[in-house]
Amino acid sequence: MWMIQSNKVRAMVWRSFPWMVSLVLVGRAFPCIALEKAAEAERLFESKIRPLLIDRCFKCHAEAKAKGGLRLDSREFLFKGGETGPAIVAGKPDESLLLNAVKHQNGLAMPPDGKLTETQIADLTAWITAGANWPGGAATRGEEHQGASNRFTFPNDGELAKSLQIWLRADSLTLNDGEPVQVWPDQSGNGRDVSITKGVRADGVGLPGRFTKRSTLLKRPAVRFDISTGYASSPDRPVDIKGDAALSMTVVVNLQPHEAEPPYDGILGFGNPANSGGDPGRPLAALFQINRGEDHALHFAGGWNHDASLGAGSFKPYYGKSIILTVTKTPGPMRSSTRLFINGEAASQTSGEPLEGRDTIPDIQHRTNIGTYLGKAVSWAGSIQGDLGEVLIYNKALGDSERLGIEGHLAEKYGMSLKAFNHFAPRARFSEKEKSFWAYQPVREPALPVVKNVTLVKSPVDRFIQSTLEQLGISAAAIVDKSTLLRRVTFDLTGLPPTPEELSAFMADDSINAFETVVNRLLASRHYGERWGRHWLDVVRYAESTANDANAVMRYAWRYRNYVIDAFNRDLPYDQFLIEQLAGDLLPKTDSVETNTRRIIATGFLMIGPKALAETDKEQSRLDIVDDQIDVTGRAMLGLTLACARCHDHKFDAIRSTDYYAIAGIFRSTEPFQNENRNATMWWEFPVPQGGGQEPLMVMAPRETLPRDLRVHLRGNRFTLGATVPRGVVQMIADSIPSVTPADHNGSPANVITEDSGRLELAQWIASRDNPLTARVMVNRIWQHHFGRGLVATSDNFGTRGERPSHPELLDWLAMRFVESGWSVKAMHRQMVLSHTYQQSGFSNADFQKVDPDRRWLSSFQRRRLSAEEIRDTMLAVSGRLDPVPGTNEGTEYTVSKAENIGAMIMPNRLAVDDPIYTTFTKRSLYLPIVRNMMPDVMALFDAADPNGVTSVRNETTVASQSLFMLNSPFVREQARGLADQLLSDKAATDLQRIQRAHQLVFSRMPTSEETADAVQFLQAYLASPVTMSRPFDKQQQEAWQSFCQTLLCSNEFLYTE
Amino acid sequence: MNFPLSRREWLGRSACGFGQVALMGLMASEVKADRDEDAAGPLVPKQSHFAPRAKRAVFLFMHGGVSHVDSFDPKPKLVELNGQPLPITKPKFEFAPTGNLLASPWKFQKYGQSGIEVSDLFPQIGSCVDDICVIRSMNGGEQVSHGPALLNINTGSGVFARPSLGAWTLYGLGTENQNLPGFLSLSPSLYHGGTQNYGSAFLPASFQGTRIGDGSTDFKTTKLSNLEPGDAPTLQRLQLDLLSKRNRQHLSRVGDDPRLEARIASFEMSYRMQAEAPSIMDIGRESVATQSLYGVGVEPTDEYARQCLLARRCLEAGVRFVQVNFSYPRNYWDAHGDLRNNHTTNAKKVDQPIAALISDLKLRGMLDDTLVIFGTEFGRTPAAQGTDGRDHHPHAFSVWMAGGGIRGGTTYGQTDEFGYYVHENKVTMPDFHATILHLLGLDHQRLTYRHAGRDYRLTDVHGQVVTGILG
Repeated sequence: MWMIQSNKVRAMVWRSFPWMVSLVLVGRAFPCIALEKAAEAERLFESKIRPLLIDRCFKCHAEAKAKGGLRLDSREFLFKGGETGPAIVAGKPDESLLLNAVKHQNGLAMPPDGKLTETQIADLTAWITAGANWPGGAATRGEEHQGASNRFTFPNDGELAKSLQIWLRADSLTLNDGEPVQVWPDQSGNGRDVSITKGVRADGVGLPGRFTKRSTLLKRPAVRFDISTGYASSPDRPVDIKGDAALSMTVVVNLQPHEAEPPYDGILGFGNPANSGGDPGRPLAALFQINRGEDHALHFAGGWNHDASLGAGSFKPYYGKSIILTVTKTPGPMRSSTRLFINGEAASQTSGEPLEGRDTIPDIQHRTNIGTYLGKAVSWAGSIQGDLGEVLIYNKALGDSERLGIEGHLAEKYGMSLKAFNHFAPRARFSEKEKSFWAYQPVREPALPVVKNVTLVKSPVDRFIQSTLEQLGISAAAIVDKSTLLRRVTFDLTGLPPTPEELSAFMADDSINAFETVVNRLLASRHYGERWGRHWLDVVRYAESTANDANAVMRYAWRYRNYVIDAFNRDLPYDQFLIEQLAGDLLPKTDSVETNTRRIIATGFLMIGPKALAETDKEQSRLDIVDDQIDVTGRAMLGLTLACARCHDHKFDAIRSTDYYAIAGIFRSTEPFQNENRNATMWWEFPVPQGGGQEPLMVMAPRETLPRDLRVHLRGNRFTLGATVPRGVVQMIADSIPSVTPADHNGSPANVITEDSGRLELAQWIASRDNPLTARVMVNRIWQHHFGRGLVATSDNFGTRGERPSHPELLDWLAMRFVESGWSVKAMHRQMVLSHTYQQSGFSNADFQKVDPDRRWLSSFQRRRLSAEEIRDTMLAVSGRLDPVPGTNEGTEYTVSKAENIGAMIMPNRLAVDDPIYTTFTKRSLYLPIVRNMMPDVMALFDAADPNGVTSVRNETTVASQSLFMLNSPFVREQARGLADQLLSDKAATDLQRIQRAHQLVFSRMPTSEETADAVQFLQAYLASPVTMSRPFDKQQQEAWQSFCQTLLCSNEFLYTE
Repeated sequence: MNFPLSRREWLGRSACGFGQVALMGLMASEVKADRDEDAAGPLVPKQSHFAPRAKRAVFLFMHGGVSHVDSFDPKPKLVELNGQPLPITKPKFEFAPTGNLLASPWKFQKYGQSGIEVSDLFPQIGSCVDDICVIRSMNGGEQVSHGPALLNINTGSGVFARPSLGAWTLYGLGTENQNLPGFLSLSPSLYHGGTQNYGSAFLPASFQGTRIGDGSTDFKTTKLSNLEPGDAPTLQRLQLDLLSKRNRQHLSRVGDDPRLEARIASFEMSYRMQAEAPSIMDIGRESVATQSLYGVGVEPTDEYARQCLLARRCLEAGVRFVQVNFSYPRNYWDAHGDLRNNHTTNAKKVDQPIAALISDLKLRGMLDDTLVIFGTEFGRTPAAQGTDGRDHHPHAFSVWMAGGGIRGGTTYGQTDEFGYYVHENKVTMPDFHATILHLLGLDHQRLTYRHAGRDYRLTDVHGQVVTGILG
């Protein structure tokens, strides 16, 4: 971010952020030192530094290759720095990222092929301290390029861990809301837990504070202090700070004024705080306090005469506010070596007042009866009232970049928008070329094309297809025969074959509406939702386990699956469908408990993705889930590869990383986990009360959490942060279609900030009729599943790297009708399947190989191989074993019964890929357990969707392992036997009738005479074989028929629909 | 859902063997224009980017995390400071807190002419050390749990679904024997990423690994699924004749379609495979001497010996990539406690078979163009977990390679004196992958696949070939 590109931007930055100027001023003090040592530095540079840079850095950071935007081959480049900020700050090794990197501090580690030696690091430090002289280089004043580091640092990051003395954080407490906090454990690793003092220490009076889940600290967890609350650590483990020592202390607080005595409010301290033993000023304690006697002055103070105070009235403006207070002190005279910071900024500057106090040399001594204390620990201590979230003490004076890193981390954690850390991203600009890209243009009503041959036009769809074909000089194919058509449409709409009875009914129906009757019957069948719901489940990466380490069973995911099936069956308007999935929980509650519950279940969309439960870096794990949510939302609903913009602006499309982080902020403000800080955490599952005395329904759904904006993560790294991006939508589309823009809160069209996460606004924006992508993307998906290929072949990528639409006007015409119909998916099916184009045969009139080899222009119908589910379901159907009843949680509960119980709700999956359930389960295949990374053979072999990611177009492979499965697997042989048993069960039937029945069931047609003859001959040969003759007599018939039936199941006519 | 592809597109996704029958004969003359490697199917041998140093690879994968400081990375300092705190900062990301430093229970000996030190856990591997390059500076990033770490070493990403190393290899090179799978994974664990560890993710399924057995089952009892004929061969022949006739009638009714033709051929191919593959899979055809070299039939080596010997047979028969897993839940290096017992037991199972594989390959003149990789998802903490265990340690650990293109008898990289961090010549996972591809004749930056709007690589945007280990 701080690669400042133009003067204009730079000017803006300077104006907006006076705090940066202060850093610059500080920096100016150092060139004087540099001058004194210039000659020495020059020698150092030539003998040590230049060879070192050439040897270890130039490979990646010089003219040829400037990784991370950083070049180290001139002084200017060093000062200019790369994406994370300037590489060096003259005179300030501690603030120089280059040194952080070579010392492996603050999350940086360079060079990647091994750490520099201590001597080399010392040389670099000396060189930078001396002003980073670069002989022969233009002596640019480095300060001009200076900006603050954008790097956030954990309090115990790298080297910091060594100086961290105590670290209390309220979010580490695992208490219930309102419960008293008896002990607040130290997270520094030094074991300096603090506990209440009353009844614990002889002179202790401190009572417990209360754990407060949604505290005044921007709703984050805190310990709530009242005037009697006080804690202390054991005096046996004092912090390692003594004498005239360096130290730093930071607290995150929201305090209230009160009137309790004594009139100073001690927030945090250690050592002797007061004049004890009649020796004023000795020994000193370190204590943050508010001195009410001086009109609420903020002090860093202890015994008399060792004060560093901000002066009268200085704390007054901060009551009732969430703030980060920091003090740093180097050894030396009290007042001049102390710096106080409020919210990351030097407090004296904020108040306009220099620190007051005396420049005595402190000598910190520890008390023998108390360690570090907070609030009213003992009778002589002052009380505080308010919420404490975080407490940190270091035994060194933090440098500015370290301090800002830690404070920045705390600000991010507590959701504080502090001037010191926020610089909002400027709105992106787009080129004319980007703006004019087809997919971003509004959907427009096209004129219906005029065609010459109207006999091939059954619906407006045909006009678009026919007009293109006429331009190519060919025409569509003829109508296909009735039995093929019935098989085609029945598989397409239900994923199952027509029954012989349905076939004869259709054959017998001579009315002009015969086909329409069939289509209506199929659309009304509940198997319709099972087939089309499955298409959607492919896209939204549906599964019932978390993948990754635990691969835990997601016990209530199936409710989302059934919600999707039900939504298709009910023909839930598609805009509503999208809104419910993204934000069903945020919709206004209706009177219907059922509707409200259904909408919560719908948000399972956000929950069913892969998730790491045991990731040590919880925030990283959350951001990866957000990434998955962005990816699926973008590709499923908008046909945009938004996730490409996680690490940088999209390389090809008009999607900026600010768009990514605008949406990431929305999803980051929505919590999938019950405890976002704990390792091996559980996602949200909770009961939803049902009316009428019914049991509550357990659902898996996310919850709103604290709304927050994210900063751009440079190169996707959460430790290298750029500008803050307000939560919002995709700016390119918001810009080009202003009418789509949701409620404008901040004058920024792409900004959807509200009190909540912004999910509902995002959902409404996506589902808007004016969004140029949403309707197009869905009608294209429907088209793809009917015709084998989308009008845009890359159905989840409408970007520049995707295909252009083959029939752009038709795409728009369908999108218009879709919205006009009230987003009815079933209306779209009718538009498509009642067309001539759908009903045509696979035989092209023309030499399609020449003109239309890919059938892109639809000059004839393209056969398709049945999907994995269809193959399995159809085999079960023809064997008579299919249980047509909709599934519920049988698959999941079976998985649960086999899962490992490690306590709590997290149950690692232990289902094997060849578990018997995959062959014995007789409900439709979409109700099988779907365990990530354990796709059973029968599904995986035939290209079922891998639920680790979005699948819009399944692969269609032809591999020998499929043939081996069809020939040899017990499952296929079992189904062949079922079919044979059915045929043989009719004792009165002749073999001829059995052969006919088999053909009707498997192929929806009667056999030809040649086929019948071949079948008879096969059965005879099989029965006459010596191998068969050697088998038990009563099995011979069954085995012959089984073998015959299996042959039918292996045939291409079975595996493909025409 | 099913995507009708142009003939050319489609041919790229079909494979009539586990590889591809020469479809040419089946294709009408109009496909002449397409007669390039695409048209011949995805698994036929392909031209590598440059001359390969190894034609095939075997990846000996040790699941659970082999302790580097107890095997290939001697640290006398641990003995000296046994029981004392680590004097340097511990990593930010640890699986669980650890205690003080723990000396290795094993002694290290110098082996071979090179004198490289290997611990008493692996005396037989030690005897092959002059053929081996030990990389002591592996860094697995911040993947401290088994799942992400396994996926990281096998697919290059601990978080996202990406194709496995073997799948990329197959995609880049195809395979020599069209009657066998080109990428075999023996006894892969079904946990910690499961099938994704040998899967093809967004690459066409033809490139996915074929599993034989799994970590939960004794390898002795497993076989390639569905290879056993469902009916007597003569009766199955009748079936195939009828099938073939029906399919041809169907083809003539519905018109040309390469997909239908390929499926007809694939049934014939399967029939041949089920006759031929079992003999290659049958290690009983090896001499008694060879079997006992590996330790077949003797405990505790029997299982891993069978895997290694089968791997050699398959490599010899033209399989491109074999992963030989020593995997969870039956075999697991995850020594959180009782390190001595865990590592001793495991090492005794694999030491002899691995050494036998190297010497057997050498004997047959195959070691020069076969890459042998010994790897694990992470090392173990030099500091103790509990009193006698070690925790996960991705920050520094050891792997080794031998054979084609490898400078044997050398070590590469260094850890610090405690074995905690990489001190010199860090090798990241992308570097590791880039190097393996390089040895196989593939440039990791050129081996790309377009998916969801961008070109993917095994090494994402990282990776440098570790030239220091090349012979």
